[in-house]
Amino acid sequence: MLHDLSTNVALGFSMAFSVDNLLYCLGGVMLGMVVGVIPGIGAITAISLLLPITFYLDPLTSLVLLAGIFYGATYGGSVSAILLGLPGTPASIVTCLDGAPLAQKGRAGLALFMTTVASFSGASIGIVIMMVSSPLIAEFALELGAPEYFSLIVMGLIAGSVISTGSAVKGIAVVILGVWLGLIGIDIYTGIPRFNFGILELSDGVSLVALAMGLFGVADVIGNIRNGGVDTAPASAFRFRAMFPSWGEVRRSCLPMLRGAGIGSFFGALPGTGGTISAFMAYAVEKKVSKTPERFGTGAIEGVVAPESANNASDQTAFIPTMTLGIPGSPTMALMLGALMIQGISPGPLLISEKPDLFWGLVMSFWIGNLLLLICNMPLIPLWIRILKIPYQYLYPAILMFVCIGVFSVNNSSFDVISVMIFAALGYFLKVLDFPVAPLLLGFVLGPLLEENFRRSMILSQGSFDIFVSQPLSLLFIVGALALLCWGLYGAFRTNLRARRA
Amino acid sequence: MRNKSIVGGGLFFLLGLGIALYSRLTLPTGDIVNIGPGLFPSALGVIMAMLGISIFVRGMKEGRERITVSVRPAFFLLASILVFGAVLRAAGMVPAIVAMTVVASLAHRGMGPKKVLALAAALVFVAYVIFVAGLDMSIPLFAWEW
Repeated sequence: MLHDLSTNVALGFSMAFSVDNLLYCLGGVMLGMVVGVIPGIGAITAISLLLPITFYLDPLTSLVLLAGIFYGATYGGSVSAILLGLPGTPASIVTCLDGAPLAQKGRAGLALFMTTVASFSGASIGIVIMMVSSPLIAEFALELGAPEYFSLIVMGLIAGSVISTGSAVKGIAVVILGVWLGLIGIDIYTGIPRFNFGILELSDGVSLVALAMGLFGVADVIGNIRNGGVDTAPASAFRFRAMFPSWGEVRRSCLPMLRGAGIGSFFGALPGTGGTISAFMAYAVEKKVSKTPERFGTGAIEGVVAPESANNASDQTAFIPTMTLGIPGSPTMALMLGALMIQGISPGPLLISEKPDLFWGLVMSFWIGNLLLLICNMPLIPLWIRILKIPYQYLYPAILMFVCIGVFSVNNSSFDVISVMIFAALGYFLKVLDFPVAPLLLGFVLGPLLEENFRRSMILSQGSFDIFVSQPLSLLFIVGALALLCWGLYGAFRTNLRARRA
Repeated sequence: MRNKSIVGGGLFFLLGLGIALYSRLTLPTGDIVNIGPGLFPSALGVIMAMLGISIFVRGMKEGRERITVSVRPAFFLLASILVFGAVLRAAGMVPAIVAMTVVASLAHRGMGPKKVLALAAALVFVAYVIFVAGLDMSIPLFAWEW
């Protein structure tokens, strides 16, 4: 086992250290930091925009690039959280609570230094957990049959549409719309085309690139312009000299970092919960265990390091279900999975054993990427402050340029352009009507898998639904799904009551 | 059209109903053991329609709400993509990016012509570095090079 790990690590490093992969790793984390720093543009937008580029890269390089954007953005998000008091990414919302007061006290340098260290520590722990647990989970997942997969996907879809969206019912409606979009195209069992409405291009199904770009490229821009873009507040001054922590601050930060990493690693691997929830949980736990909870909100260093350690740990462990089960826990991970599928690779329990170079190369690139982020984050902060001053009116044409060239580079077909426009309109209308958009993507990627496993289960059980509850694991997932559903509906009910009382 | 939930719920109800009916009418359902291509989508449609109703009903209890659609940005942004496509075919990438930037800038008030052109030039440069020099994409800079 240990010997296996060391050969795999060596294999991974030999893959990750190729010139191409190093360059794309650097490019990915840099771009990730930029989009993370800028409020209103996040990792999912950047990944959607770069999806067409991956047609020109090999599978590992594509993943290294996209993953770099993903975890790089989490580092970047804390920069604007501390300097502006404005979260650059949703995962850094909590970091504002104590990061902004620290910056106002003239200790922005310290806060940034500590979040960088915390982010790196959290990520490291997350990567170690991924390295150790992924092969075990993959081995275990080989035992999963169609009914277990069906129940697991149902749980994942419900988690993704109920947790962290405003309304459980709206979230599920959107996820089902996504599943349906995923079914468009030729039915693999019978060869009958479904819902193509006589359009030849739809026989291959809806294009993931067009969907992601329409939803997260164009629709977001339309929404942001209405709000007059994102305000750029003056950044707090910060000096490099004031960045090193005192001994007491180091001692106060160690345990919160570790606890944060643990919380983040756990929630990162679960479906539906990601960096944002991990950060909230870590902050809540620190406030609870602290002997001086009243310091929180006024610039407590624990309130900065714990959530930042948590959200970065969760970024790494989020890859575990995606790479070992082939089931993404979040829309961003669904895009990663989609990027692999575009390359003709369908991730599942066999991925690690059949394509060890891909899996271990990716994992080892996480080390390289996080090390680059650790080194580059502080020196680049003056640059980020300048980027924050770019008005949104200059940024959105750049986003559109990526959409346009990206769409045309894939097939050079006018059908793709029309698809992007339709999905942009769809995404925008969902936003206008207060429906969450992200679950759509999750449903789209998981939809075909959901149907396939349902049909296989029915063949296995001769048409009896008992198969989903007679197997212990499948039953566990179904119970989990129902619990999430009840929790989501109860939450909506409670807010309704509160709204009526108010 | 009272509020967001009524409109959204209603649309989801209609869409779900449409999906269910369309699947029932045009696709073989099969039986429960050997499921045909129509069964799963029609089940999805039914669930979607039911969720739509529940969103709609909840919307009835909520108060009136203004639904604001920003027509101007939506129109010019979508138009800019079409313009890019048309100009790309006719004249190549450089004119296409310039045209796209000009149209897209109309979505947002208050950008002068000089700034728009400077931005377009910057975007052409970025696109050249990333897509042509970096990724070696076969995209003509000017179509008359062909």
